[in-house]
Amino acid sequence: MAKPKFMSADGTAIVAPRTYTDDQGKTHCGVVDWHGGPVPPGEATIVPAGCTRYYEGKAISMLIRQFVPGMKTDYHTDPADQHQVTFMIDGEAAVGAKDGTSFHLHAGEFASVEDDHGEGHTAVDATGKGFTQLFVAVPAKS
Amino acid sequence: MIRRRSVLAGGGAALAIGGLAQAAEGRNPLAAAFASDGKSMKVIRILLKNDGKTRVAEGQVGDDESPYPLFKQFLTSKASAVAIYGAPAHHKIAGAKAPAKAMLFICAGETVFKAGGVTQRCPAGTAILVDSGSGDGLTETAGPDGYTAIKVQLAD
Repeated sequence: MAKPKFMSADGTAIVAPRTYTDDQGKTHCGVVDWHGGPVPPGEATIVPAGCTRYYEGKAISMLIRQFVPGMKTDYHTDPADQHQVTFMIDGEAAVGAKDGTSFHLHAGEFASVEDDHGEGHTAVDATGKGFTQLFVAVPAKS
Repeated sequence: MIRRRSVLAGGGAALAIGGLAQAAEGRNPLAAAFASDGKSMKVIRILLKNDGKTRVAEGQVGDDESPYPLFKQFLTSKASAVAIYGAPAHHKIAGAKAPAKAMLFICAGETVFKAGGVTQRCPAGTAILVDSGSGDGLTETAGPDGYTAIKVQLAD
């Protein structure tokens, strides 16, 4: 198997595009690195023994959402006080912020939606065939 | 450790993680679990049976009948914890009892579950639903390249 496309060049972190809002309420697109490491002994975890942990925290809810072909949104924020850890299962979405930053999220990639307030972001079905995404809502402050 | 960056250039610069776009031809294996009519998806179930033993079985779940016209939803659930982790190649995980219901989604690589004489291969794109209390008699072995998964501990 080739190295998954979400891994960093050195294979030590998952690299995920993110949306986030700054102190002035302006929303931007950026990148988050979830660095891998062992779970320290004695720490409560849901990660199986002997595995590398890239991310762990409290969660609120989960779902897999299949968007219809041609779906597009206006600028929006996700629910207040929640962030979304996501994985693109199928299709491709184009995500943009008002400052001109943007990213394309392809199947097999993670993303972190962190703009639960502020200007928000747009999301557009980039292929016109629809897309399918796993969302896990997590507390904004964990 | 989480390191956040905000270094994208303006002007609509596109970010292509890893520089690889989805293959244009052929069905995406990550989406193989979804029925072509979009009304159901296949899952693997790790079941706690009445005899206290664990079984592995294929199953199917329908969409959650969301009233919204722009999407269908599957596996909608409250949750209490989430982790993204990687298992090394051929890593063996022996039957610890699951303390709560969980959903495991294989994002890359593959893993294999065995219980009750049944062997179930779970490649990338497989969603696995784990019963609370299951685990007795279950073994899991990561594939030859290991795997990366999202694990969600579910809440009632």
